[in-house]
Amino acid sequence: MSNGTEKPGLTDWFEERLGLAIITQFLRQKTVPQHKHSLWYYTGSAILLFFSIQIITGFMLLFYYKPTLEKANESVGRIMTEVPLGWILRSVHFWSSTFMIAIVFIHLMSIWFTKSYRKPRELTWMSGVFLLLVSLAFGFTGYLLPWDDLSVSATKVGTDIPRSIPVVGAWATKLLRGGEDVTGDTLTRFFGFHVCILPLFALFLIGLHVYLIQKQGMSLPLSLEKRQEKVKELPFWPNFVYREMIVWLILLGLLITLSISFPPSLDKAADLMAPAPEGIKPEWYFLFLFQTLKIFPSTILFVSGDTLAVFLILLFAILLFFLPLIDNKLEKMKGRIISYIAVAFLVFAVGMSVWSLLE
Amino acid sequence: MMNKRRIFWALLVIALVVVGLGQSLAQEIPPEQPAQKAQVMEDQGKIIPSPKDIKERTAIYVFIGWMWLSITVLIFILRAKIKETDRLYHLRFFSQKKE
Repeated sequence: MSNGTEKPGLTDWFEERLGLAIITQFLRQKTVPQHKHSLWYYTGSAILLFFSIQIITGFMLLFYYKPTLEKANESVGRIMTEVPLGWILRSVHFWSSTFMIAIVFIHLMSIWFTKSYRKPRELTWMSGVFLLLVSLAFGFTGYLLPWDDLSVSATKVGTDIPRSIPVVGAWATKLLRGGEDVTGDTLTRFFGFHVCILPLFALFLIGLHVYLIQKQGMSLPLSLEKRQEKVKELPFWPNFVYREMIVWLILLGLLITLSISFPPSLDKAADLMAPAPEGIKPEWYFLFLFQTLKIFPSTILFVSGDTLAVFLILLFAILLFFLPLIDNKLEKMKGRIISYIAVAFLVFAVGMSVWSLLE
Repeated sequence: MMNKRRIFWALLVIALVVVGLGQSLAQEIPPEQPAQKAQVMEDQGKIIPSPKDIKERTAIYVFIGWMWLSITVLIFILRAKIKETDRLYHLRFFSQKKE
């Protein structure tokens, strides 16, 4: 009875106009390898989940936050005391950034250990390293926005680090601060970076990163690829997405529980003329860099210790970026040495962070 | 059998949502009370957000408990869905062309 006369449903109406079936078809054809290291495949989508939460909570905070020297601290205080559920909102934003950066580090280390950056995934790795830098920049710029004693002092220390680079150092510090010292101009500048420039960079890089992953497919760990056996696979949609949903639910539960149980506090507004408070420490993800700079002697062979430390950090970042091009002969001794360096870096970073926390 | 199971899960989820919403509405603080500001303890200019009294602390624990219960139920449903989709995949259900 319904031959040719049946009314199209809402799904059909949208399908006719948007043609979304191509995407569903693509996702159904996309497969995810199943092996003992499959757990690491879940970290990518977890980062995206927390990035989305950051955008949503960031927009909500933006409705009340005022990025001026006089109002910044007061407006954050208002969010925490007067805005309904404002303290939870700020806490979710804070904890979500912590989760995001932690998972970015885990994601990066998992790729380093499984050597998933090898040909043809060099650009995927490079865009990922840029995303790590953007995530850290988000953390660094966001830390100043409450404009309390601790955040201003930590920003003074952080923006002073590039000064030890010869020739361009002083200029870089001035560029970051918007002047010679940390002032209201620095706050406006950091706010602009935090809510406009960095999100644009992040969206572009995420788009490129996700495109490259779709183009090259999921990589197999080197140990499995060497065996050249057929690995069990699952369709991305819906089989793998359902599994990812379980991880998202657990992470969301943890995020909300921690946000409600341990909300971040707010110090009184910073006084630019007052001396720096004792025990200044950056966020946990900068602790190992902070401690490394701290333990360096003032001069090493007539060269400033700070300059040497900054150069070593920059050199490490450059080598990390070009890792797929350096570690291109995986079977050789070089590949094994690079794996040992990864372990050494992890031990060093954790050790330095713990040392800094205990001090 | 399948339909009965679906109805059971749907009813369970609806019940959880309704109970949860009811709970959260019941725990809302009347606007005439200066409660939102009191939620914060001020210590030498430092603002430390925390529940203002035992009632609010209990409400928070109830909410967290309800949330984890909902997550557990949803995970249980998702596990059932995973089993089903894996079975269909092994039967090559989606690779068959529709007549």
